[in-house]
Amino acid sequence: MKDSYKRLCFLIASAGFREEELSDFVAALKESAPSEFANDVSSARRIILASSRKSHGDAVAKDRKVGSPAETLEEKVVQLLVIDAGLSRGAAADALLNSIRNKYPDIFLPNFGKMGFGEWIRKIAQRLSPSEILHFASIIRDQHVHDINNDWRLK
Amino acid sequence: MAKTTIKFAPVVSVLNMKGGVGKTTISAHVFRHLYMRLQKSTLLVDFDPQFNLTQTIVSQIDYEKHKKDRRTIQAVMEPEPNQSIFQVNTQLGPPPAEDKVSIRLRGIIGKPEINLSLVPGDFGLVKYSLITDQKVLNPIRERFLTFIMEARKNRDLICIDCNPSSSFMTLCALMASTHVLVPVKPDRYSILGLELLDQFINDLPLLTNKPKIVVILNGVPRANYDPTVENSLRSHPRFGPVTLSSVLNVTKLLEASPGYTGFATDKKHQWRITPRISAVVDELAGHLGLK
Repeated sequence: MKDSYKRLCFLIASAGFREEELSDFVAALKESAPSEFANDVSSARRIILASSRKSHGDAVAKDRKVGSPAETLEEKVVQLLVIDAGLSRGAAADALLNSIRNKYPDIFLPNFGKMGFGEWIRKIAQRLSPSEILHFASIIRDQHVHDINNDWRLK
Repeated sequence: MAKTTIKFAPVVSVLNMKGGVGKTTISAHVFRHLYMRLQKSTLLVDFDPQFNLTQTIVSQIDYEKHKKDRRTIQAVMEPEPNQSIFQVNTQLGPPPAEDKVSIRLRGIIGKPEINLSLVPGDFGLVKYSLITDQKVLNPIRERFLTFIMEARKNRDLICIDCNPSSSFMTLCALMASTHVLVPVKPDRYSILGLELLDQFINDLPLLTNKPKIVVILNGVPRANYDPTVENSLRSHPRFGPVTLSSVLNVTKLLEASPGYTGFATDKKHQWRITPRISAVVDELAGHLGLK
């Protein structure tokens, strides 16, 4: 018995599936191409990861595959300010706070302080829409990154 | 005596001057999910003569039956079809009640007032692009606007799937709308379509109450992604603050496929895309004031 097969058997056994569910699974597996099954497992992995991010705040891996788009609000802000603009998380938070406070001086916004970046972004998102947060972050990014682009662009 | 205030539902036109950006996909799948997730009574209006929205979710046999019963958008515009495609009926009268022209697609058990319905599309709408005399078309526009206004009293949300042209029908949809949801693909053409649409809305003198624009990025690849278009959109002074942070990725599940008529979120492997659509719905609800 192959080790990977044995591990999957143990995994399925511990998940408590009924026999007919297992038969359905095998039938579905026969219909799917191996790549399709691998894609399904990857999708499931992403969903599990996303839900564990929600429950465990910043206690998650910070890397993602090169060339894949940032998915969560935190990832998008990190992409724009830390990866693209080259700011530290503290400097990114300061720049974002200054920009938002300039436009909305009356909104109470918590300082970055010692909380994790993801938690801080989520607190900001309780007061400002994610669309606006990304708008401010994109403007700061553009101040640090000068794209060379001769293409048609928005005016 | 206490005054009773009628709450009018928001009306969202799904529109971009560029075709192929996912207008119908979003009208069908995002709004179907919104209806269920937020439990909002939702009316979909297929306002494109190509009626792809209808073809996505209604079988051909059922559609032909509805068309024979005059249960399509054509009956909203005119009471009886005219023999000539260059002429319209001049004896219009009031528009039909919503339940006479819509079909119920989904309902929530125990809550009959919350359902998802569709006013099916009709190729007959194409005649309004062929008639150039606006005076002839004005009464038809008024009839459509009255129909939508009446539907707003009984619904929580109305979604109009539009044709990507600056036609009479686009004007009708914009005049009826409180919001315009603009799907944008991360390519040069669809983002320029957004700019043209914004210009069109701002330059239309008839449009006294300008609908609010909300932008959604659709068809974002999961690998080898070039974020140039997204970055320029998000930093734009007008469009950036109204671009949803959640995006829709490229996925076969959202594409029309031969042999399947229905909503993507009802498909066998729907769990792969449902979390993504949920994030879009939650954010969109904030922009539409549905939360």
